[in-house]
Amino acid sequence: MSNYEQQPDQTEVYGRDERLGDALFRLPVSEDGAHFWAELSARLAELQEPRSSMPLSQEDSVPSPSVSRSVSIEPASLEEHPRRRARWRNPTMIGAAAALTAVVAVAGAVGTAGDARDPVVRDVKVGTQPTPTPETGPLLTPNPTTPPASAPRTTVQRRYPDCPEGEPQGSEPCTFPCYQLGMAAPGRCVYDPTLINATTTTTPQYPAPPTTAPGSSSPAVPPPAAN
Amino acid sequence: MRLTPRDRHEEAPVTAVTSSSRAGEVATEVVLSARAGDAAAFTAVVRHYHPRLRALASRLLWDRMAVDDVLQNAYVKAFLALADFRDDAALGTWLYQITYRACVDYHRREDRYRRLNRWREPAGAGRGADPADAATARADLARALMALPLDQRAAVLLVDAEGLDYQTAASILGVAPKTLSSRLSRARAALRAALTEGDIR
Repeated sequence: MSNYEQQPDQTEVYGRDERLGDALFRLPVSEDGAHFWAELSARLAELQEPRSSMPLSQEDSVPSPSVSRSVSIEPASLEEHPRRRARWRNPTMIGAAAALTAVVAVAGAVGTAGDARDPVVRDVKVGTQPTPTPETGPLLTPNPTTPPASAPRTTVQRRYPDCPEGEPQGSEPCTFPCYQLGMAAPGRCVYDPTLINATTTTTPQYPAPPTTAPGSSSPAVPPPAAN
Repeated sequence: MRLTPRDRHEEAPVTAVTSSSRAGEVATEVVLSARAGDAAAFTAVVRHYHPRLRALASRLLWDRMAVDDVLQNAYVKAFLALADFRDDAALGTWLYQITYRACVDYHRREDRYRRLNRWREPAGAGRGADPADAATARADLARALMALPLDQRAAVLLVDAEGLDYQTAASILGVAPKTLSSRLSRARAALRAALTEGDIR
């Protein structure tokens, strides 16, 4: 049993444990770093300079070159800041900034929504167009609103992978700019004026009635004059 | 409220406390100069209280580099706030408060577990010309101290090691005296156990 345990509790309600206190007091204390006071003095000196260069109050101010020089420099920045802030409080500026923000936000939202709801546009060369047969009927009379469930989706040929300049290569008679063509069948393109605004309007899921007879290689609709 | 620290820092053989730590108050003119922004006067004020403040910070954090940083930051804060300080008699208490809060801030920033691992072998805890038993007891006590929560550690250091009265210590820690008493009870229980183990060895 240690001496410490034999002793009664030395502390009262607001007392002090002498024995424990002595033991704690003997714990080593680290020494100051070699540059502790030098660093502190340097930091205090840095802080002291701005303090001493602050403009004096009206009662204390003494007209002297040094004081007037500091007054001429310091208040300039202090006044400029509120002025700049006041400029931004101008309703015209706020309105212009808000309008610009709204335009950017709407443009971004429209672009994102258009891409999201128009998978046909993003899918290039997906699905195949059924070959017109007597059973399925001619492609001239499709139902644009209620297509047959088994009908494969026809892809809007908005961008040909092999059409870097906007015109399909090696796919006669598709010589029109890609983004205005609907693909009636692999390798066969038709002009579809509804696809001009494909990104901002609902793109038809199914191709517009081809204006060429099956098997014909010449376009019935002339290409647009300029794209 | 008057600071009544124990006037025995000079007696500690392993501390770096200088003779300037003798209890007393700083001359009023020096305090006024420091309050007016005189860095030299402020340094004189700080040097007067520094040994006790360093003892507190060192036993709270133990890491010498950390103690240096914390104390410097605390002194810079005090220098910036001294112009608004009005109560001359509590200058020491006020500096204790700033130092303690700086220690708490540092402690929160650090990774607690990493620090605890480091504290398990506090540098210098077992060194010196002490007999082996005493060194072991100190090491045990140091470990137990560092295992305490920071608020309990500060409570027992301020009251038992530094000898401050409850009211002053509670003011420094920013708690009610009853809260301080509660923290003291828990801290003392843990430290007494460590001290007992050291005695047994």
